[in-house]
Amino acid sequence: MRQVWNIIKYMIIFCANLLMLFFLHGYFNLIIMIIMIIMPIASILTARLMLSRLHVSFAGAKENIHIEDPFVLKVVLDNPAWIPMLNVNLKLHVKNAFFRLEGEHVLNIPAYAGQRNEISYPLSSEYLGVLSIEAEQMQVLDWLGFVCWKRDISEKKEIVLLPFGSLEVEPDMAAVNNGMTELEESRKKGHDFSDVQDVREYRPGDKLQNIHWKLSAKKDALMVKERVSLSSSQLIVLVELFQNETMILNRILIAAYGMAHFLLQNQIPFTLQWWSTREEDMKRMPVDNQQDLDAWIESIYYEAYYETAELGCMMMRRLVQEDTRFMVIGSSGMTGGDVLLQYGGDVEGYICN
Amino acid sequence: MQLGLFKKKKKKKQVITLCQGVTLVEQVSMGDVTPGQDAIVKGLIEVCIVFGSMGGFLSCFDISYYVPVVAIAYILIAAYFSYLFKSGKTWVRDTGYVIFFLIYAAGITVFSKHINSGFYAVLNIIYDSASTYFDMPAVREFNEYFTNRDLTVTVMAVFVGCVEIIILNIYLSTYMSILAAVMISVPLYTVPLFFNQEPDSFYMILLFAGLLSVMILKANGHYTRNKESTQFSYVAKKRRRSFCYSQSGKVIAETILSSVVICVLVICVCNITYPKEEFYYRYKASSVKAKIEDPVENVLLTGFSSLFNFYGSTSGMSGGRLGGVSSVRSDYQPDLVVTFTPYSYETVYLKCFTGEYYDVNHWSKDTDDIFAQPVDGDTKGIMQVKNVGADNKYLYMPYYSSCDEELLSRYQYNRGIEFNMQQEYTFYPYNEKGVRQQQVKDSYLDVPEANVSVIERFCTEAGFHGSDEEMIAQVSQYFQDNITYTLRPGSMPRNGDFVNHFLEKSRKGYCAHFASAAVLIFRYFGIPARYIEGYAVPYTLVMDADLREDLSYDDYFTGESALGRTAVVDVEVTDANAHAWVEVFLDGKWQVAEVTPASDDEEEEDDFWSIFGNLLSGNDAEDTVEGESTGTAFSLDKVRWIWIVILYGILLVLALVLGRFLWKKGRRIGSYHKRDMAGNVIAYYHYMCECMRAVDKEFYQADSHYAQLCKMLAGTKSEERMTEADIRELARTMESISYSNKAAGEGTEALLSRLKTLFRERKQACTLADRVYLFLHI
Repeated sequence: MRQVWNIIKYMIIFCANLLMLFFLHGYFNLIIMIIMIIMPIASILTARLMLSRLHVSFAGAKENIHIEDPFVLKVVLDNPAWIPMLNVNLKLHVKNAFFRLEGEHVLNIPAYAGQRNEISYPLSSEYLGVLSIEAEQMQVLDWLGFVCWKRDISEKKEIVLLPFGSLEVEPDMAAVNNGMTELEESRKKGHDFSDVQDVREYRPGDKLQNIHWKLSAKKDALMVKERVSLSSSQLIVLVELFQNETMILNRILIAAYGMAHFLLQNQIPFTLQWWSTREEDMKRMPVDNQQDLDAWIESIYYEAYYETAELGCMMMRRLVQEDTRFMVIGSSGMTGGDVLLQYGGDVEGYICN
Repeated sequence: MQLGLFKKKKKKKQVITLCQGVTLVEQVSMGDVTPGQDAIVKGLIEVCIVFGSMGGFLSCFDISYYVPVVAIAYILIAAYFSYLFKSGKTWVRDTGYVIFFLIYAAGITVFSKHINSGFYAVLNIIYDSASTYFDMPAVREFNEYFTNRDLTVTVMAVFVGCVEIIILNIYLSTYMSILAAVMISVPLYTVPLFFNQEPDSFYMILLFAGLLSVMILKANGHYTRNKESTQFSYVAKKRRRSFCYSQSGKVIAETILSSVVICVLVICVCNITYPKEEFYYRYKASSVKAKIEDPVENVLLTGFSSLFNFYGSTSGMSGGRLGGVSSVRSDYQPDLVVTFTPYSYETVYLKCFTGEYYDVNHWSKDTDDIFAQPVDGDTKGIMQVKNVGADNKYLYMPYYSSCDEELLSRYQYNRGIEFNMQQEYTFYPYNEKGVRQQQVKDSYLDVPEANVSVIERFCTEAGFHGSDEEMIAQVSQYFQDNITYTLRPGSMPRNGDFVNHFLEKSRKGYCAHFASAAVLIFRYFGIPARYIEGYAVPYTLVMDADLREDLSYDDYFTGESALGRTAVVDVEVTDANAHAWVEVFLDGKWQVAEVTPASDDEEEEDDFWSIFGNLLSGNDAEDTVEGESTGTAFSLDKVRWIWIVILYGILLVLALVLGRFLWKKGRRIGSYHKRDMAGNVIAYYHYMCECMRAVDKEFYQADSHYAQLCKMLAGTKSEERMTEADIRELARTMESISYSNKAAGEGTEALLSRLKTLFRERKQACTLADRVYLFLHI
């Protein structure tokens, strides 16, 4: 409607000048008439040309960002041509695919002649996930406001949002320790009494404790015991990817991340497990260091959540032996064992019997 | 302790989220902002417009002044007022205006004589230019206090330009009004352009660049700060959220520069390919402009009073009154219906008023004589004159009517022909047997003292000599060759003499002017003459008369007829035939002496459609000489050309609208068939949402697939069939397709079909108006 009004106003001025030209027959009016004939054509064509020349990109927020921490996202509009445009509209789509949250808005900015224009968005995110910002469409309004040209673009930037490393309250590890098997406890103390899986010749670097002395005497060569893999007896931390209207999954993941960070700091080996609805399988990832932990949380961001509170626990019980104990981090109030941690009032970490 | 009344209200900070969970911590900002840049560039636009306007006006008349002084003054003033508005605070602006007003008032007081002198200098130069253009014998001149015109014009330009900048600044800072910019700058050019004076290219560039910049900024917005004085405004409407920047001085400056470049290019190309000289070589006067040149000249000559009529009517009989009419406008309604038999090709005069004494601006009535002497002849006619719209004070008598005492009495006491009444006259066209007078009254030789010197100079200049008949012919010829006939001579100045003003100053007029002047000239040479008013019925009017077959020729005419045996006709005489002429006493009788030059055709057409038709049909073609170009390139040959252009324009607009509509539809439908099945489902769902937003104002509140599907199903048949679980399942399926990378499964095609069915039902539930709207816009 505004564009139509601009055209009408332009025509009124044009006709007024034309009347003056008919009446006065002045060279001055002739020049005005020529300019007014050329301008709309030049304006529309220039805008069309600029639509293809303008380039949008994103900058800023390079390293992984923690939630609640402010970060600056920059939208950069690059104009290689020496023609300014006053109205460039960028349709920006902001999405958090993990939590299925999205929002759209239009950014209206000018394009400087032969220069870049940087627009800074100081943001902070409350939720974890991969925040994807995409410029979907560019619109350019010509100088005289007659025509708005549009072009679809797909410039995208992804920002990985990580939780804080530490929990506000340390988990109560007494339950963990109480539940540990003798094996786990002795391993923690430095002794390894896991089952022998195989016997082989000694290789430099093997622990002396693993030398099978009897067999070595018989064979007249040093033989060592190869024990059952360490991972099979690590602490299992099951993370429920349960989501409800209160965005509980965000707090579950923060709690799980914090818990994992705590375990790493205390050198407690553990494996993170979760039920993947996409693959319909229980997935696991041993975490030995911070990089593993970050890799885990990033992989979670590409999973889909479920709306049943204890689905992960249910699936876990089907897969492991009855007496196996594992830690669950999920919604509070579920049937479970000893509570290790509480977070946000509705998230708990507990031992599942 | 703060009292609640004086507690400053804290504005609630608006929390803006880009999507749920992602919040803006601070305002969105744009880099490279120089404080105050926007005020500077807006001031620059004002300078361009005002300097282009004022400087261009002065350059049209080659009026010299101190250019740097004026330019610097404009820049400083524009910057001052731009900064006042930039502050955004009302008290700053008001205080600034008051301070400036005091300085301005003081300046006017100190430099009042310089300003007046400069103003008069400009006026004198304009009058000089106008006198050259109109070839006027004399013009008004204003007294200048100072002789240094450069200084006085500079001072005047600064003070006048200052007012322009103040007014322009208000409209540009607040509204960026192109109308205000044009109204302040362009009307000043109409004066020099009327006299074919063009401005220098430099000023044209400035003015065009300024106006173009205003036009561009107005069309695009972004010329004023927002209320919060932030770089970006956040606007959240139902369907759309946006961050709009308020203004950027940098891009405004670039726009001005681009406008200057465009104007320079166009003006340079025009000057090279079609220079001013060639334009004026082909110049032919506009017919509309030609019509108002007379009033303009009159205004320059005698002031604005020349535009007004002092008497009520402007056509028809004036009863001897002279000079109170600035222009004569006929209504072309019949005043008299004359029934007679045409007997000659010559004009038939109907006499009603005889003027005896001339006194400044009127003729006094000669009450003694109309056709007092007995008339007779072999050729005799009967004429019936019916009054259908003329002044009923007069008798309208043909030459030479038989006049009895009753008629004479009616003439003396202004008892003419009553409305719708008819008077019959017996007349002797040649009066060959009429009684000759031996002498006439001295009043018919009277020339007032005030006119003698003027008449003497005029006659000396004209060089009249010879016998009475020769001099009568010379006067008539001289008038024809040297003085312009016009119906728009302008009013005479107060206390001015009608004849003196006509002969010395204006040198243009209509029949009353010529007749009055001729009478005094003849009297000056001793030829008895008197001023006559009445109606002149030319032969061309007789040709258009209605035939009276019921009347007999023999009853109306006997004797010799130059036309042979004609017929009795009814001639409609209008006020356009009202006329003034001279009677001279020759050979013992009063004879008609016609001294008024023939009028041009263009004097007669006066109505709008005639003017419009001439304008568009190219009046200039009348001036074309065979073998030469037709001249002005802007004349249109045929009126229908306009209609063809308008029709093509409408068709083009319709074609563009239809093309855009078809392209959008085609693009949308094509998008369904280019992508994979999952992409098609997403594209179709997106289309459904777009349609729902167009018809349902609250659809935007649905923030999940489930909520959206519920709104789409509302009021459809599917709403009854589908349970909540079904809807949730459908929503989950849509989410998984939308957000997962998983390839489309087997059920995707069925899903698309299901969505289409659902949407078809939804459209059926809409009103007809909504469906038409969706078809046209989505």
